[in-house]
Amino acid sequence: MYMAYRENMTERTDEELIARCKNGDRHAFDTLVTRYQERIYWIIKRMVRNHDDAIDLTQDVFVKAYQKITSFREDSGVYTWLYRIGINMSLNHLRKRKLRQLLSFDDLSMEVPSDDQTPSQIHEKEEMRRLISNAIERLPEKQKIVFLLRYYEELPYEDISTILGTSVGGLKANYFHAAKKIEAFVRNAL
Amino acid sequence: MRCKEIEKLLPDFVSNKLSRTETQAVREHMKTCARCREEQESLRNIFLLLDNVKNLESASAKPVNVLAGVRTRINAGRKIRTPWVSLPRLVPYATVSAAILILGFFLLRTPQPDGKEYQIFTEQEERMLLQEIDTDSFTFEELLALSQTSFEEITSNSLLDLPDDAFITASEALTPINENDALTYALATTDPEDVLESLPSEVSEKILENFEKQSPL
Repeated sequence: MYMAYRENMTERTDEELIARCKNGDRHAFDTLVTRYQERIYWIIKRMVRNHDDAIDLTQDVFVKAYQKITSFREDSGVYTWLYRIGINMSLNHLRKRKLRQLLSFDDLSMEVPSDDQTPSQIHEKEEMRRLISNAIERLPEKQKIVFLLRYYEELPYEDISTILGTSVGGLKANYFHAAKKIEAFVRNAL
Repeated sequence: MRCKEIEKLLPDFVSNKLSRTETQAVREHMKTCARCREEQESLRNIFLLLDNVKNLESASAKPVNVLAGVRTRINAGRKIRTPWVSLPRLVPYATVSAAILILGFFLLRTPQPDGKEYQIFTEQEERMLLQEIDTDSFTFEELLALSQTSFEEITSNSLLDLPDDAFITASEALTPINENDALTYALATTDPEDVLESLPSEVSEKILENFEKQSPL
């Protein structure tokens, strides 16, 4: 009976789940977490470049969403809302980390993703991954977010516009300039 | 379409994400524009590389499951520390941190051994910062006075009303080795999160920007 209920929940639309969440249905909220955790984790991971921090922040995103769900007005899709929370939390995290780095002399510039278990056969590919990661890391904040949302998350410009409050034309320009900078960075590094 | 408009379409063009009409427009434009053709070529190469790396990441990505962690945090009633939600709890810390910060920038404004005078904040930012802190517990005049007084006096006059844990934290931060080392010591032992979280984001962003530009550290 319980399992049937859970399975039934996975077929619900986001809107139905949100309505149930607002009525205190925890299973509906669990379904939202399961549905979006990967996407939220990856956008955060690409921003903070650290697995543990990304897991921690992803959890924070959903806890915050849970706390705020009753005030979610559904003007936008739930995933754009979750992305916005995730991006804001990542930016705050990065700013704090930057300040801490400035004040404590920590050197985070050499930080690499913690999940590197690179076998020697794919060493070259791993190097390329780091190169791309470094290129993205050096983008101006806005261009970086636009690039991550468009290229990796494959979001339509309209959704990105909702998340960032920027015009579609401006986003396309940001995306182009981000891609150009990545290209230049990689070209200079090779 | 002009080059400026075409170039905005190029990343999606090389990723095959344009509508048929847009694709046609880009193709037409490139027939007569060598610059955009070249641009398109270099973007195509970088997107090929990006795609390869993305596929590599996808292939090696481990599944993410945060559900248990989220449940635990919700059940434990863990609060997310956002500036406005946690401000009341942070007030004592923020006040002490702010005092340190204020003291810090006055110290920085005094000539350093190398003869330079460092200024972290513009006058406008100082005013913004001081106004924000003013709403906590200090007045502008009190902060000015604090900035010109000794660490011992700050400790004895300002910290006694704090809860025990805040008092210990603040005392540790405010016990200088000597006045010359005070700034470094205070900055190194103060949790910058408390300072940042107690301020509106536009103020904290400006502080950060200025630290980056002018920090002598």
